[in-house]
Amino acid sequence: MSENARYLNEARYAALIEGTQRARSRVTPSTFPHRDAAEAVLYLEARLLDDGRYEEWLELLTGDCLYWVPAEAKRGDPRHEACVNFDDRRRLLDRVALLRTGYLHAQTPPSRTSRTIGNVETWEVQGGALEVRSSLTLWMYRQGETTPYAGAQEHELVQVKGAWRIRQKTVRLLNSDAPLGNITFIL
Amino acid sequence: MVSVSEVAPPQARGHYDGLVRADGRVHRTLFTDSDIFKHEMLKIFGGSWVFLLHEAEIPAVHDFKTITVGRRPVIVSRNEDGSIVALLNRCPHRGSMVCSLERGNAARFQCPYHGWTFLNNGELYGVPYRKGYGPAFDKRKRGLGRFPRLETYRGFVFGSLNPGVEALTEWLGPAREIFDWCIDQENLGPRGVSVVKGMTMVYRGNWKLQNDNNGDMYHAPVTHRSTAEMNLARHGTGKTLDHFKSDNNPMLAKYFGHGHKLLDQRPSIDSPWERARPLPGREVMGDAVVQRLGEAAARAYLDLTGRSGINLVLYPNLMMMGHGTFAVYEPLAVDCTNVRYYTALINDAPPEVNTLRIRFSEDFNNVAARDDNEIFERIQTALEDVPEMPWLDFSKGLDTDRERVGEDGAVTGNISDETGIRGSYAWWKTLMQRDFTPQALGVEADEGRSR
Repeated sequence: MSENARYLNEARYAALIEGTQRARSRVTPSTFPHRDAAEAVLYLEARLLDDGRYEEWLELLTGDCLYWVPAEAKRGDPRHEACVNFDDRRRLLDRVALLRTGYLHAQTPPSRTSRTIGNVETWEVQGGALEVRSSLTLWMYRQGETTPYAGAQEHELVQVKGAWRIRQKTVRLLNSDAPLGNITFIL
Repeated sequence: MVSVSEVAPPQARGHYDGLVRADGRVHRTLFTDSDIFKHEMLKIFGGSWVFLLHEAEIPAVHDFKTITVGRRPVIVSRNEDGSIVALLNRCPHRGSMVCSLERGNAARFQCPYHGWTFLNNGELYGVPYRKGYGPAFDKRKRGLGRFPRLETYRGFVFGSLNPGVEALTEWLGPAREIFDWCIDQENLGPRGVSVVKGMTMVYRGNWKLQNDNNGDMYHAPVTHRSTAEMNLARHGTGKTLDHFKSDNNPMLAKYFGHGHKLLDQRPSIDSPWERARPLPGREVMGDAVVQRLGEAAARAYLDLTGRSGINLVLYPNLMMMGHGTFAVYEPLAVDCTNVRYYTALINDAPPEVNTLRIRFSEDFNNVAARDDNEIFERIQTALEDVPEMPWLDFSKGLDTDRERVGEDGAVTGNISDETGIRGSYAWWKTLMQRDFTPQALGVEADEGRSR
């Protein structure tokens, strides 16, 4: 997919923040629109990431995707706060390229991960997009140690040429604002 | 006054001479021995000036932030009159930590155990059922222990538990000029800066490994080869780490005394904005700033969103990166350290500039710092487990014609030399053997051991 670097503008930041607030303030139950499709994307994503198939994972993401791991537990405005990760597609491609250089010591040997996605809820939002909220439990093994990570995920899925793709992915780690160890893999 | 031999672990005074040698060798036990670590918490983090916070982190009256200083839980609080105090977060009654929040606003703190209440200057304010205490109860010695020394230098707040510590400007010495340069970079407009919390990382290794590493350019092309190769493959030449290709360049490693060291890469960094890796939103935000301010004025701001070329380590726990980001080393155990990053935002700058400063502050941590942490953990493991090889070698630059002493006493070496790190270890030895006992004001003095 091409690299258009100009989509992260003021409007996109604003939409991201608004979407975050909307997702976090929902109190009514989901009626599960497109639940099967959403679960299929999330499970496929989990499998590709667990298997380290990053290039194929990138194909699941739109050309104007964002990957956001906040470093704050409560607030939610990346214009004003530093993040564990805040990547547009270009920085995600950098991240994958970094993993593939063969010289990334923090991933030599690589992290092995096993993630479980649960509590999947879906909502239709403006423009035919799908908002998906889920829980993530991830075990990471590396160098004789297994480390657990847990948190909530928010995905925005959109249809591109008839297939659901990830336009936005947020991972809110339970310990997002605490000192974090080696997260060199993709959550 | 308790002498150091009483508070020191089994190692006698003078013992450290043999562990830090003039030929650049440093003994592995400085990184692995928990008795030495405890002694460091007394002698270095209790004896030197230590960076506490930036005053913009507690801008309003009664704002506070909790931190640790050599493992001690500490509350840094802004009082009614605007002054800042640092208080030991430990109830004088039965020892509970009084405040458990990371930040907040409070005129008083109440201990959650028996309800003793303290003003935010540390003084005891109220004791439930006061009549149960006899006439010897001295309120003035039942406070939250206050740091005897606290000074703010251009927004940066330093404290010391050593009442006899040298004046802050004397401690800064010739490092002050570079510290000023860093602060001047962002001291634009009358409204000053705000400070946002950045990433916090923890690694399983001694705190000095990060401190050494920030005065070490020798490692960059090797440890960060993944970053360099990725940048080259993805974005061509001229990006981060491309400026350090050989040993023969005008950049400098410098030692200022009092443990402070510098990597000065400014001679090789012409334009931070051009050299910055492509940050998310760079083009649209850059254009917006140019459109609003015009090319020249915009450029001055945009150059503040890239690598300035300064790594200044103020010993023992502050690292200035010269583009608004600074790091604080927080020792947790002999083999465990937090590194907390913060970024100064310029209150009078266009908002896009501050967002780009934040995106830039994430960038190095995302792509390169992980490799440093990995190396620290490998070092820690090997130092702990290989007693047959007791020495680390910091001799690069020694006995060559590359080092020279300036008029201000600072020692300058080639950028890849271990000049600054050697200086820090010489100062480490001085601090560890300095004769004093850390103490706090407003509490009952220690009659015996300090820790």
